[in-house]
Amino acid sequence: MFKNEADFEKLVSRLNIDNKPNPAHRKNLRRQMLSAFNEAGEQPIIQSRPLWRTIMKSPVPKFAAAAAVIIVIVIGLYHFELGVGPKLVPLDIKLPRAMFVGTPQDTTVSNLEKPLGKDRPPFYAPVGTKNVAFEKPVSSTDELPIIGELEMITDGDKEGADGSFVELGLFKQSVTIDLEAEYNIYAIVFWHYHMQACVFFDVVVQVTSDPDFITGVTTLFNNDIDNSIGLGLGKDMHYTETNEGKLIDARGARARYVRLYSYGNTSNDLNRYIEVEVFAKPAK
Amino acid sequence: MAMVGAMAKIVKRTDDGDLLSRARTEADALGQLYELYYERIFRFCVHRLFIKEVAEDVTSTVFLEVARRIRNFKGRTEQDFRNWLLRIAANQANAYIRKTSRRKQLLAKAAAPAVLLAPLLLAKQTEGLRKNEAAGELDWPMLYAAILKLKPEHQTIITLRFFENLEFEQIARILNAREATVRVTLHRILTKLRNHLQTVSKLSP
Repeated sequence: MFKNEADFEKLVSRLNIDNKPNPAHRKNLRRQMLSAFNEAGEQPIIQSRPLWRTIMKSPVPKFAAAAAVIIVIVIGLYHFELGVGPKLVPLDIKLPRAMFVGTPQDTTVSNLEKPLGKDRPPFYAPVGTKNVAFEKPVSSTDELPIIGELEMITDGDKEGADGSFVELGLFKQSVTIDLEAEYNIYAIVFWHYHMQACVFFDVVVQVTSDPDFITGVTTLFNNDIDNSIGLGLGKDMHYTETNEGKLIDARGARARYVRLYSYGNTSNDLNRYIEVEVFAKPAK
Repeated sequence: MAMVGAMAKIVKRTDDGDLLSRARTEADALGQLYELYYERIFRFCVHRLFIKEVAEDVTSTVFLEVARRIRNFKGRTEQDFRNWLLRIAANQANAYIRKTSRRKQLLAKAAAPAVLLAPLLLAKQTEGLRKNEAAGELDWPMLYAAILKLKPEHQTIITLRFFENLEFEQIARILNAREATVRVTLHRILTKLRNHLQTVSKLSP
């Protein structure tokens, strides 16, 4: 048997593999591919330049925007100090069925938060806050998921069963949701996978209004304790996936894009997403 | 690194990103890219899926996907394009293995010749032909049967490393992983593979 990598390499080099392509397939596929290319080209591509990026390119509007933000903050603080802040109500988060099945995975993970042992307490947000991620477009570092489609992340289906989750590739992966407008985000709730009690590693949640995630990025959650993702060391705790999902307090952050990173889990090196909900109100 | 027959043929450079850039809008340029990469992708699929007809299907899926998405492909260089292609191919091959019930059929097909070969292996060992003992006597169906027992993602790493002869850095880019992680993972995969093969060898009559 082979002893090491070099041995295995030699073994492979001696294999006799019939991998000669069929010229007819090659020819037919070329025709099909070019036909698909032409068909795809007939559909118009809409690319609009976001207004925010246009503003930020020029100094005068940029300072004006900064001043406007400061004024809004000052007014906001004034109102809160006077006790005339918005009325808060518990968020209505519909939970999927709890469904741990099979043998629980080894979740002996460092810095793991203890289960509450009871239902999560209600989260309060301003009246009118609702899930604005529903059916919004999702992109990912893995554009061709191993299982499922990216659209499933915002389709409202939070069940843990097969057919409800998307499985992205190995190691570091992320998904980005475009809310299609700026919102004041109060909470983000997401479910990676809750059929088994597993823990996802290096979960980082960021929001911004910059589609490139370069400017104005706010990190709302980061439990990447060894900087595997490369966005800095996180101080948040690991948590066990349940049907309650993970709720993150977004503190009214103003943003259009929401990005979630992960780096495999205690069961395997893959990344799964069932649903992401973003509770927000249109930005004022 | 040793090359594996024509499979390891180095793809002719597309002479910069110009061809790639034109391929986003011109069918002729895309056709040229196709001619450059068809064989490589087909062979990758054969190594991942064993059966040529299946490999043809998956190769078709890969290039049709490319045709639909290339207008939005953000890569700039030939290297980016090649990584993208291999990534699509790896995902499609994994999806095929996962989504269809063909996995068992593949395994059965691959294992059958291996079982037939086992007595021959034993006979040669008895005769004292130690020259290429064990490793040298393994053939493709037997090795594929063992590889198929690994996770699909690990199969991808094996294929990229030993059949596509890619450097760790390239594999890491294709899999969007750290180079060190790929190295460590490969080391573990080879240990598993060796164990699988040793088990098969012991079980053979």
